[in-house]
Amino acid sequence: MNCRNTLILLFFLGIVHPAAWSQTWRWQSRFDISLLSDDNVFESLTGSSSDQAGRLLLRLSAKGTQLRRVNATAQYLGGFEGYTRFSEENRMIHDASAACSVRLGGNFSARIGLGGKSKTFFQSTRGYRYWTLTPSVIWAPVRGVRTSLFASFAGMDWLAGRYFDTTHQRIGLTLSLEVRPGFTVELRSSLGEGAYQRNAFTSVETDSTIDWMDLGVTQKDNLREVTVSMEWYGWALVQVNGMFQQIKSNSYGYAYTQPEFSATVVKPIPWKLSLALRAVIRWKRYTDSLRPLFQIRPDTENEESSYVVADLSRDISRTASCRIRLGWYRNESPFRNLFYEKQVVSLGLTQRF
Amino acid sequence: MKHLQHMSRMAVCALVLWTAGFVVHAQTADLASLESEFQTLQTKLDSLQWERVRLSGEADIVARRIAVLRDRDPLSNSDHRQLEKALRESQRLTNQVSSLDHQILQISDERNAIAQRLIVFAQVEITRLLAAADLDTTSKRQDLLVSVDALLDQKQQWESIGSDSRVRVGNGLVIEARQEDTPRQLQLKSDLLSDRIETIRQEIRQAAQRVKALREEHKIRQQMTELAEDLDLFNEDEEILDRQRNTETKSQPGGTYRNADNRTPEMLWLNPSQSAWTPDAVERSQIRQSVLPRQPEEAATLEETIARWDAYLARMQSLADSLDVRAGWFRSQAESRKQ
Repeated sequence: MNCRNTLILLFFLGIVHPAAWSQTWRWQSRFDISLLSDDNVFESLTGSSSDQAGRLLLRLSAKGTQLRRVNATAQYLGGFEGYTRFSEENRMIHDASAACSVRLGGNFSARIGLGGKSKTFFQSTRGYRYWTLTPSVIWAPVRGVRTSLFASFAGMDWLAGRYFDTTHQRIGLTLSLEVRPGFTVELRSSLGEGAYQRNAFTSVETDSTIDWMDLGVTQKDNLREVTVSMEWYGWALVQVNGMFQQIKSNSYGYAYTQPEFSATVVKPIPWKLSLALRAVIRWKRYTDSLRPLFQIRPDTENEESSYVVADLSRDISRTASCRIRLGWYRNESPFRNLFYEKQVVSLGLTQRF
Repeated sequence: MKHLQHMSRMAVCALVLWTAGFVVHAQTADLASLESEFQTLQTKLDSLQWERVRLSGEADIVARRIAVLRDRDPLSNSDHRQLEKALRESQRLTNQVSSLDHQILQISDERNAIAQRLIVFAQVEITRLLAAADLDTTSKRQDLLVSVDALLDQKQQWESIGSDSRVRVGNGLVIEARQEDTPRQLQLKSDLLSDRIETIRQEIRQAAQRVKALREEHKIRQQMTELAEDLDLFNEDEEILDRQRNTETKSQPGGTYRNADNRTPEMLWLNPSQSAWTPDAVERSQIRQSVLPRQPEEAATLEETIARWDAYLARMQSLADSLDVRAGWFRSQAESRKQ
């Protein structure tokens, strides 16, 4: 275990250890099992391979308070996905996060969050590890208004090699306004920079050929992002999000602009049923004129572009529910500007405790 | 031109502020005058009640004298004259007490009506102070909360004054059976308890409705959270710089989900239109602590809020059941003494 992982482990142990907190922790957990049918297991552009799979999900989360000034949360999400025919797609996912906030004077509070996620495939070296550190200062000057200055530091470590490994930093500002009870609007803008391990390059066209020229500096991407979010709770819970994102890169082919629209609606309906809909639509436009077969990510699942998911669930008891979920995806493949489609149908059972 | 526009904006702002100030001032003035009127009526009522006590004492003396004279056998002429005089005196005192009772009832009604208006004013003021305390500076917030506590106490007094049955039971007066209680007195004590039970049951019904609404909201938010978690974990969105997750709302795809279990304090506060009732002071204080946290990070979860309401409901239900048993006992005692 390297130094970074040791620090992460110590952080979690320190924050979760009951002796460190005078008051009790509140625990919430969930176990979910589902069977699904995926009509494009390999996220293929040309042909598709369908298969059935089983998924397990375990969620453990805890909240604690000390001296009414310090609050902490910790959460673990573990997932397993196993396919019946294509065992090379079987995988295990761990996602852990913890946050601690301290109430300062003058309506200020400080918060720091730490998270890590790993995905490993049982029969291949695909997968990654991802970590993030997010300090922020929150100021709530008057009722219904909340501003937050945040920063984030993150790193992505691909198990297949260092070529796509990145670290990134971001700083941003969030303003949240409760327009009226049940209706909240949030504005967020941020700037960031990402640094790859590899060198940047550019394309040099001659009459008949295209050559790639190493620029001798590491690739750096700059990010600008503006987001407007809205949440309304009335006869349904509605969350709508509009975002504009711009990436500038010193390496050929990585710059793009991307408006995004997403919406989620959850509505209870008779017979103990609930309907949830989530839709995300992205319009990605690359700034450079693109060359074909130009890989941008090593993982096909890491570039979701647009999708619609409908989820119908029914309570079986106070702590258990069953559901059917339909999902349609149109995602960008590891090769830019080429999209694959897939449909996923799943039946699931959830037990909360 | 710009100067004129600026001036006109300033004038509009000043007008708005002046109007708001006037409204607040008018409300305060109304409250003060009502309190003054309430005190005047209360003083008058107190003096009438003291007068009634004095007359009742005199009537008791006369009644005892009448009883002594009636026991004499045979009655002399002098005894007859004294008995007739005592009976006339008793009649006069009874009429005076009856007249006083009428006046007391009338003034009580007036006072109770004012108490009801004061309760409404107090509720509005409490809501305003809580809203102000929610995000105010630490020292001022403490002052505001102290004011809220004082108002809650005052309101409870007015509430207890507004209903005699609640005065006695709500203020902790023990209703107990005495050896000398007549069947009618026992029946009255039973009725007193029944009134209180009815009030409590009404509060329970309203609280249950509120809890039901909170549970519904919790369920909806839970479903949204779970959908977000599933998509986040298995579909692996938002991992990289250009799609990084929101730094403050972990595990939410798109970075746009709020933490579904942590609503803003304002969302958790009781909707005034749904909360005409208020729990008793202790529970109210606890609930206030949980639903009006001082910072968003301390926002009580819906589950915590629901748990507090459940505990409160259980306590009220237990109280109602206990009072019900006592009321039944008083009724049975009244019946047995009648026989």
